[in-house]
Amino acid sequence: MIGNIVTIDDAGNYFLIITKIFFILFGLLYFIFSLIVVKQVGSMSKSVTDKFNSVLIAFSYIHLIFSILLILTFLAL
Amino acid sequence: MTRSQDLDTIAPDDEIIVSGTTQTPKEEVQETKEIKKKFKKKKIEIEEEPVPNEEFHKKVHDICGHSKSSLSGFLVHPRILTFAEQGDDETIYLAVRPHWINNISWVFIAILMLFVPLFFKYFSFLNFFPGQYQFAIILFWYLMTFIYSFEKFLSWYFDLYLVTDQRVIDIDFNNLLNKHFAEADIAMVQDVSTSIRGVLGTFFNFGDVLIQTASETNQINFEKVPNPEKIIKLFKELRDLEEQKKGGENDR
Repeated sequence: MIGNIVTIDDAGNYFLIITKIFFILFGLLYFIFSLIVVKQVGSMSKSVTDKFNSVLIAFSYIHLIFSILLILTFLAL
Repeated sequence: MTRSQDLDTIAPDDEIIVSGTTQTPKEEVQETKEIKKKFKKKKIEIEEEPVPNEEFHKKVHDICGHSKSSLSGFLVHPRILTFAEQGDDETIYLAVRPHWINNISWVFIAILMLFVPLFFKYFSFLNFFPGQYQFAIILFWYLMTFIYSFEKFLSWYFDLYLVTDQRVIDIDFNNLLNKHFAEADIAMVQDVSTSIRGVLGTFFNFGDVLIQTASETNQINFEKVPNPEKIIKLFKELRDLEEQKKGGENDR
């Protein structure tokens, strides 16, 4: 910023900051969603028991770990 | 006269008199062993008698065949699969899911989604973002692709239609959050009809099986299930069995 004039670089920085905040909020929502997925897969597996259910539960937890990694990646931006 | 009668005591080498016949302790042990053997044989014979249900299980396999994979859409007499509302003495004869070919559309979309980041890179759509942002966006995109496929797979996997020795059951999960459970007694089943539609249905032999019942759930619809004709045959057998049971009860 030069005096009261906003340069293109500043506008770009503001845009990136807003994008980062938006990403972090979205990441948090996605984390909540992945928690719901874990819970739902658990309750589905209780409702219908089969030997393949353990694989599905494992996938839901892997997804949860990746959603945490996503938030960390957004925070590190 | 034996010595024990004289002395009013029993000596260890005395013979034991049982209702006129004389038996040594060794003979008595042998006799008890033989009785035990006979009893065991009888027990085995009782166990080996065919249970009426076993015959019907064989019939079910004759009609529907066998299935090994738990990912199959047509599970005959699945021993591992159970459901929360299952009774202790309830046996699942058939568990069906929609035919796997119905998954093709979402599998195709998921494969396309996998290539979207490459498309963005090729046309430089993300170039105005710094490198870290691009990585984060691509990671997010792949997670979205995964969860889309996973959700679709779960919807298919847990969309189950069960035929047990007592009930017909429809278990369905919509959008991961809503569970739908409908059941009707086998005795309440009135009409069963099928409809195979379209090229895919005819080619892969799948269709809808509509079960009309006299219970509160008016109808249960098995949607896009494989081998509808086998399901109809199974229902016919189950209804015959049910009628036989009723006949047996009336005779008593």
